[in-house]
Amino acid sequence: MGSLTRGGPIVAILLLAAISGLILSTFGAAFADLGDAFSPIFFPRIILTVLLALSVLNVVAELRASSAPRTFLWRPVIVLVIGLPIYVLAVDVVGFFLASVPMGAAMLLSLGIRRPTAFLGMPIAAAGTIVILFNHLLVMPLPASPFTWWF
Amino acid sequence: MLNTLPEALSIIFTLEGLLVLVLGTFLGIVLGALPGIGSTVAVAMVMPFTLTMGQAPAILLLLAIYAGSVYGGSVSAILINTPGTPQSAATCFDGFPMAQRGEAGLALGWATVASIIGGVVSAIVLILAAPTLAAFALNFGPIETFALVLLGLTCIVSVSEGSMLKGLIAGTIGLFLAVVGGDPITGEARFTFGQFQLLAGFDLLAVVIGVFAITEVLMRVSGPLDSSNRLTDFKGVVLPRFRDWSGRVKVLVKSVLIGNGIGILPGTGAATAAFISYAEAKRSSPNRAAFGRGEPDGIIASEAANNAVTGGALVPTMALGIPGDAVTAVMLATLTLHGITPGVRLMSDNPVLMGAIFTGFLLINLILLPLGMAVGKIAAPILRLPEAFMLVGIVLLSTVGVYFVRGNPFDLLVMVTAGIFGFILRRQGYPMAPLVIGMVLGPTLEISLRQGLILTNGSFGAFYAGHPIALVLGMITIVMLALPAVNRMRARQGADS
Amino acid sequence: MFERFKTTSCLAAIVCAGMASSAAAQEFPQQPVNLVVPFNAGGGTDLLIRGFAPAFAEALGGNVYVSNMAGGSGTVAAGSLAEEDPDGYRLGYWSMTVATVQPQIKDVPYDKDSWTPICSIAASPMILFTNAGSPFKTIDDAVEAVKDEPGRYLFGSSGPGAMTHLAAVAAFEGLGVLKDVRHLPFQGSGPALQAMAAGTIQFYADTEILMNSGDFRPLVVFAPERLESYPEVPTAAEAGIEPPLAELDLWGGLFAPHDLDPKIRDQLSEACGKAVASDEFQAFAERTATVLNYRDAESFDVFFRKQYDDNKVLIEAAGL
Repeated sequence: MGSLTRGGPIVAILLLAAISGLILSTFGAAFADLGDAFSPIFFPRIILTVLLALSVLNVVAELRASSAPRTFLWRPVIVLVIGLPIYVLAVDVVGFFLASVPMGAAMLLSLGIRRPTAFLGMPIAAAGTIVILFNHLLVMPLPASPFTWWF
Repeated sequence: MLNTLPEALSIIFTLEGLLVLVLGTFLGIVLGALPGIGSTVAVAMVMPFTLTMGQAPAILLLLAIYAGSVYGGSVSAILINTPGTPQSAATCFDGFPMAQRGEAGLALGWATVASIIGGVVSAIVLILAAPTLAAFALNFGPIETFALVLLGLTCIVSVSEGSMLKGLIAGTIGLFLAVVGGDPITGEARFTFGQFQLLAGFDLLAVVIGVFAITEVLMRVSGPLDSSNRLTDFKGVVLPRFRDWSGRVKVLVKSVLIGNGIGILPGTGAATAAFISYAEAKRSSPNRAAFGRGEPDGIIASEAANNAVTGGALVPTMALGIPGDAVTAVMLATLTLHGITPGVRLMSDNPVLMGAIFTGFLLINLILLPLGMAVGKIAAPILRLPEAFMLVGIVLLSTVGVYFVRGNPFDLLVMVTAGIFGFILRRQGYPMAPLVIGMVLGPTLEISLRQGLILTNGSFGAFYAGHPIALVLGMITIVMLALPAVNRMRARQGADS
Repeated sequence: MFERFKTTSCLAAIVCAGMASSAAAQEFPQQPVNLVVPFNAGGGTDLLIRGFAPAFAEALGGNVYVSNMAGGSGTVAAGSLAEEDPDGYRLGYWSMTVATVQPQIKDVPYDKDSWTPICSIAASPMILFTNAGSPFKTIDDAVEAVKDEPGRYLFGSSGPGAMTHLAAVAAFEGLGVLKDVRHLPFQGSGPALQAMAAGTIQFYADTEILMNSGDFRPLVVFAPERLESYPEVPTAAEAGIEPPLAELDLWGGLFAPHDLDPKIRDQLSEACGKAVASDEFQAFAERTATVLNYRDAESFDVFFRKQYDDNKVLIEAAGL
């Protein structure tokens, strides 16, 4: 429970590491040297250097700071962090409607809504309305299921 | 221009003309309020229907959709912290905190009135001074644009109050995200790590919706959530009382001027205008201390400016025949399809039509008020659903919106990743607004800097030396950066004595 | 709880499968056909396809909708469509640059063999132009001025590797002065035209409709014959530009992913021909100064493959 309360330094160090990696990657790539304006890496290097300096300061600041613990509810966050990437990948495979209903139901269940009419009914109604509106009224279709283009 | 008015009015006040204005504006508001369907998509969607209409109704329909969608973007920004378009991102900063306080209706009221005034003033400026202003706008080359965008970046400083360092980091991350993809000068791939999809860079709207909407959903579910609780208490638009305006008129006037001025310039756009206007309001407003915590002045600054851009963007379009952005490009194309040649002689060759278009544009901005209230009435019952339902709705609508930007499933992954990344950062106190500002301004900053360097043969010193406009903008930038420090020092001295 | 899920999704799958099998027996098209524009809404290509879509829908006897998938000079849309199932419901409108130039200069996931060409629709001549107020009355004036002051003049483009870039490079390379002019890329035609009007750049190449939008003077046109609207402007060959540079041709057509059922291909190609010939679209093309050039699926396939190889020479000559 308390692990993220000292997440500040961890996030700051991870940021610093990522930025350092990106800067190093700019030296590996071979780009034609035609002067600053023609170098694709000219502007990114300025940005990354500024970012590097800022994040070094940030790590120092975070190590010295102390933070108060805050409530953190793991369950719905994990459902979303794992569920959302699967959901958006599924949209392309099984279509918007068939992906949205389980996603919405899983979210509602994790938020403590247990009545089936609510946790199934609401996503079906919402996704259904969206599909009718865009696929059939506006003819700007969302991805449809492999079975039928009606949803 | 004015002597053609009677004839112009007879074109507008027909059944078709009025129907087009009302329905177009209404549809524009609804489309703008849906996250992801920005002005460009909305206007392009409607364009084919205009082919069978007369000249004036065709253009008026597009203008109605344009103005309506810019206003509509503020609705979702305030109510669910999801900007319908990037230009209403700045409206979230104070609009959503007000909504959380239970004043959603009032926040929308401020946004509505500010939008209308911004739009109306810009329409009047368009009618009176388009040719003169268009000629001035041509003085804005890459170097002046660079100076202006740099000024816009100072906005990052003013929106990162909690922790200046973390705000700057978020802003610079935004600038970096804008760099990923094909180089704008040479076309070479940068930071794509072999991912073909990244060649086109991160889609701006996918990232904006990710770090605002998805991050917001994650923030809400991570805290204790009462399932009977509502996200916002909203019963419809509440117009601010007349006396509430005292002390806010100056912000309004300034924001309208900033929006109008930036709208006229090529290649900057409504989002830049809203950010610069917000930063200026935050610097000078008497209520600046409350900015970011639901201060109406912040909403006024953003909304007055982004609506004032609409009229401004039409200035080069109508006076020179050169589109300022994608929306005005569609309009010019529509003019061509109706047998009108856009160009420098557009206004002198078609005075009646132009009169009708400009007057219609003024009317559109006026009917935003009743139509905005009507849309509020329709949206209210949906927004009274329990919070858990709203959060599901936000996830679904965000997905729809990002998908429609360019129908690319990859953008959905970008949105989700940006949302989770934004959540981790926001939990640790990094503000997300600077990230969006950096990403909006980044591409223009880079291309104008490098174009400028090509023009001056690689001398950065020549940027400010030969360009008085750039020099003035540069000095304003320095003042904007130095002011907070000076103020703090003064405050400390005051406390000491 | 999860049991309930399973039952519902199974039920849904069965119902859907039933609907799908009955649908397959019927004729194409069963659902709206999507035309993908690989550029932003509001550009020249977008406009053309939005004008074409209603005529195509009528000829096909179904719904047609247009979507924009911009990015990477059109390669994002092409790369994404190339990986899709060829069901005939999603077609891309690729210009000559997207279909033949980009895959040869960039690392993109498609090439010559990724497509079932459906039909070609348009071929708009590119025109190199300058400001109406400029001292260059003809292309010879311009070449002379450039030679006198190498490095002083700039030409713009709507982006690196875009048709506007390629055309200007072909013109200046063909006239032997490419090393004496500088290139300033913009993001799209709008900003480039503004810079033309402001005098920041002196030369820009684009289609006739865009040139007409401002006060500009045409210098040379990439077409086999002089344009009716500008009889005094020389063609590239007349201006002394040698082939293959002089043969630059901005064609565009509809493509489906490769291995599309030949029956559906021919049906689409036929509908495309009918749409191009329709009064409605002909009038549209006349107003937008678009030159229509319909080829059916077979001849477009041959033409496309030949262009792909021919343009290799053009790309090398242009130094891309």
